[in-house]
Amino acid sequence: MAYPTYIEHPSKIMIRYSGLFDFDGLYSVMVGWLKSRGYWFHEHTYKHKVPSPYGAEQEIGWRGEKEVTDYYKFIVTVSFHLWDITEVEVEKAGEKKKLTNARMEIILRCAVEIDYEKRFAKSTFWKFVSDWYHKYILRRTIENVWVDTVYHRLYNLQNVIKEYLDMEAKGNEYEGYMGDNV
Amino acid sequence: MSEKKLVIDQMKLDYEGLFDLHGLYRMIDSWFYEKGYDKWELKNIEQVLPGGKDIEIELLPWRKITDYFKLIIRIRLKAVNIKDAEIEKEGVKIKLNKGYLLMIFDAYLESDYEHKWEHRPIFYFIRTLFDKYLFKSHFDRYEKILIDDLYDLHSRIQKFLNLYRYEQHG
Repeated sequence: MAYPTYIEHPSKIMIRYSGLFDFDGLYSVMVGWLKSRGYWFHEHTYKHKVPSPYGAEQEIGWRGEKEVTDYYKFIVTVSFHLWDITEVEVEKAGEKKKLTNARMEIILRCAVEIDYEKRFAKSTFWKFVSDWYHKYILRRTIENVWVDTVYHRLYNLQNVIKEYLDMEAKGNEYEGYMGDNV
Repeated sequence: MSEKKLVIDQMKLDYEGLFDLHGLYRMIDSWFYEKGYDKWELKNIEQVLPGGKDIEIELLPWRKITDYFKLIIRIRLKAVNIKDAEIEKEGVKIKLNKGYLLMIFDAYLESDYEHKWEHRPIFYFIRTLFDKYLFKSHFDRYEKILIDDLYDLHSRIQKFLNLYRYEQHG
């Protein structure tokens, strides 16, 4: 079996939050995190369902891509799912602000794409050579260095979300473990 | 499929009263970091309800101890009716939480996690024989490490919770 050129980390990270929060603020903080780290940001899904008596439902999907070297690319995917969305106006320090009351699920996933320029996909011979090289020489570097790096950096994004939502279980002791590359 | 042996099954710890949930989470996270475990926070659920916050966290960190063996600890934390509380200690006000906390710990020893010995039935058979007769001492040793690790974490959590037995202010 050929070694895959798209290696997804098997562990997904899930956050669920139910309550009042500033969704616009969270959205821009997360986009800011991706952009400040050089990810090319793409919102591939935006679904808004007709509101029921309990509120609206939204599904949003993002994909962030970053060319780390000319051979490796980091990919971060974010999926939002919100239920029972209602807008609430609150007054904080004399200022009126619109907040969102909803149930929200965020799923974070990451992957590494190797040979994304498809240099070794031009002929069957080079495909065979690259497959052998990935399988027997680079495998540990790919899985233990590159995939682990993007995986541990993803926890920094998770922490940004938790901090923004002011969740009780926030913080990340692994913050500098694999660098952050801001 | 790699083999997963359940070494510790549902060790429980429950607590009701004042505690620092954020501090507890950071302490567990830093313990795993110090011990060389890779992080996996499978779930982090927080619901803000009129009676307080309900929090559910599932952690599944692992440590690759050799090419063949992997230690996995699973922690399920459930905190119910969590409210903010303020206490005063030596003239300093400290923000804590008040509520009910339940933690369930499981520990697994996973062998052949790279799935190298399952491509052919004969490999699978050889692996079973090796696991049963030749690697028995390895299994025992790594099980002991896993048990030691989990008991160490458990006792640290107990100490951490005892640390915050202050009198509530007001």
